[in-house]
Amino acid sequence: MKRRDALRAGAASVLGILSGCRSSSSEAEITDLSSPQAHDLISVLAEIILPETDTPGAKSAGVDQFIIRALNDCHTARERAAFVQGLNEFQKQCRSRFGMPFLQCSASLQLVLVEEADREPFGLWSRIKSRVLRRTHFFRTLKRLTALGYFTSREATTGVVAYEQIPGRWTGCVELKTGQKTWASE
Amino acid sequence: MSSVTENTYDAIVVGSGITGGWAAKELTRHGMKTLLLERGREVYHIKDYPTAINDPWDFEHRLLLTVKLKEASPVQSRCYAFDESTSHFFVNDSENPYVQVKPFSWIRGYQTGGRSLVWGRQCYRFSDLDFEANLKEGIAVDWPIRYRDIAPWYAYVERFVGISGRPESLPQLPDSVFLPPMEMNCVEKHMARRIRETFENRVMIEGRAAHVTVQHLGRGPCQYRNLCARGCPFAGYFSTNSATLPAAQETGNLTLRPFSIVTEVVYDEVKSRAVGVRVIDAKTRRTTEYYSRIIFLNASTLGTTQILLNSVSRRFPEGLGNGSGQVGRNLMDHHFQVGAAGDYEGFPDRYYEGRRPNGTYIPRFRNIDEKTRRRDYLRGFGYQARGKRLGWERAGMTPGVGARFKERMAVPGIWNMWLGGWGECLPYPDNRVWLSKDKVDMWGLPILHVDCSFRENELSMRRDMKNSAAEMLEAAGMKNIRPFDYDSPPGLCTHEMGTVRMGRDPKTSVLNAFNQMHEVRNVFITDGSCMTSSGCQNPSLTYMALTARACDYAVSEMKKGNL
Repeated sequence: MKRRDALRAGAASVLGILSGCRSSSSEAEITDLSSPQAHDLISVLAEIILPETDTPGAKSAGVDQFIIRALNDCHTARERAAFVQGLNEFQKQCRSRFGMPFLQCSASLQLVLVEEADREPFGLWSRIKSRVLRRTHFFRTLKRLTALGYFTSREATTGVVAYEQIPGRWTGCVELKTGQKTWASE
Repeated sequence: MSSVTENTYDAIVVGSGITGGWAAKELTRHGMKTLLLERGREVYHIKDYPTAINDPWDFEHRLLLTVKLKEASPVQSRCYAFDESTSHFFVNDSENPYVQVKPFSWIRGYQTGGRSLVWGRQCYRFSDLDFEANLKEGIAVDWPIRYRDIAPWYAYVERFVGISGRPESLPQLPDSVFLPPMEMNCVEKHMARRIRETFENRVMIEGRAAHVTVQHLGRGPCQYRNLCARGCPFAGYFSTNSATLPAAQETGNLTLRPFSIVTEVVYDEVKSRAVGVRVIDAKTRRTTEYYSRIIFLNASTLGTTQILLNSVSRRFPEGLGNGSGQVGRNLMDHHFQVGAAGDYEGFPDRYYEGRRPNGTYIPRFRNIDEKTRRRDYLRGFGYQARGKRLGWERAGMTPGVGARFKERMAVPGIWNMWLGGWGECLPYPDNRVWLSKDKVDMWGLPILHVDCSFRENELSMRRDMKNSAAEMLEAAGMKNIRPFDYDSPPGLCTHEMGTVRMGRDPKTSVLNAFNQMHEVRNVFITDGSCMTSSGCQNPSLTYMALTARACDYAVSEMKKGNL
């Protein structure tokens, strides 16, 4: 985190306390994955995980739509509720620390929070929770879906990962060429 | 009378899966006018493979299972081959009920080609180690055949199927007639070398699979897409639809009738023979009888069993040809989903090209002679094994986000190796199925109760399967070795067999050495139900060889006027 951002974060959290729980549309609790708030947040988080560089990022590969579809169609109501709760806790944490909704934070502040969330599932408490309570940390679910949606997208096959629709051959052992990408599917 | 003539054929084959396709091909080839009955819909080769050329992004859930699919098919969706791209080749569980007295996964495909569309394609011969085991150990009954009886028929079907593999001269796993093998990748080659160096009786060989690695009888070659279970537009692997059915149709002797649910075999008490089958048309719901001189039942192990049990007459109150009381008993399936995986830190500069629809195999090495005798269990197991480099799928479990993370996940990761065991299951008379007395399906047919479980012998073997896998990975210098045992229910391996067993004595078995019913000489059964023991090899090749052999016998008996 840059010094300026750290200062801003400190100031913001003071402001946040002062201004109390002023609500705006992006601050409201997410209750429904199909809501614009949920979509905006998921979309930004996915783009932070796999950003646009000289190759497409999560957003332009349509990963946001895929994540919501997968959560709605391929997860149980219980799993969905846990995910939504995770999103809300994440937002709440952001407000209590930085005094503003995640989406209004600067890119570097957002990155701080996302990197923390990324480390959390690897922590002891989270590992116990996922074992005992069978509750997956929302960020782990999000990251898994982001990777799946992205690396199997048409966009990712344009230079990010290697894909051949019809390989036409099997060569068991070849030299790894410089710049060789991982196969999109095996 | 005219409708009787119209509905009369030389032969009727019930079921168009991997063995029904063979029966149809062999019988029509001998000039027999053959009616092939399939209970499900028509699936034409290529035309009816709707997902065959889809790219990964064409699937809206990227092959994740939806809750809706899982709820509609809680059993089928557990099968490894079932996903968004293949679910149309599996039955809807709620429309096809059965009772699981104990957990049993009955995996089914009701369509032309049956499960031959989605099968695993691994092909291994049985040997006399398998055919003599029951007799030597005093288990169940003796097989009425030995390796020499089936060997020429293995070769016969292999020449048509096209099986990729390499001759190894192993007594416990006889060589097939092979097309070129699919070579190992470098971590597999390393593993194979270490196994050979470390263990006296163990080898790791290229998987033997029904893939045409060169063009074969107008099929293939395999394009290494590894999307087989969607149906292959290149006919790169063997299925009824791509191979036996076209061959049967070419003779001009075949009538294929889809949507034909066979409810029973009709037995004529005066003639003392089966005269035909009764069929419900799944579209019109009308019942019709079809007649023939011989009948082949190839409706799958439990499908055939259900038909026999439902075919009651004064002569056979317990089901057709069931004087022995063995119909429905001795249900077996291979036990699997046990083994170990590990990581390998070498070969950072090596990779592979293409998507191989196959892997490697470690043939049985337990109880193959005195030196390998185990005290804790009978029989043995083989491993399917494969090595690969981790790809982007590690992203979900790898810390990091952002541009550098994205770049890192897009290059090949560490090598790993996976070993999964497939173990023999003994025939237990009380692993059995029977017809419900009060529950019927949508066609009014009594549904099956399945009561089947693995026992002490299988559980002891599983401990060894897990430990031996870890031991071999360790010998090969693998790190982070992860033994596993998913304790999966019988049926899930899709190798269910044994409920209409072959044997020498009509008092203790249902079929003779030619898969002919002891008590109904013009009925032949050559699907998995005929198996007297299960071996640990993937069984379809043996079913196919037995089918071709039985057809040859049936035709020669007819020519002699004996049928």
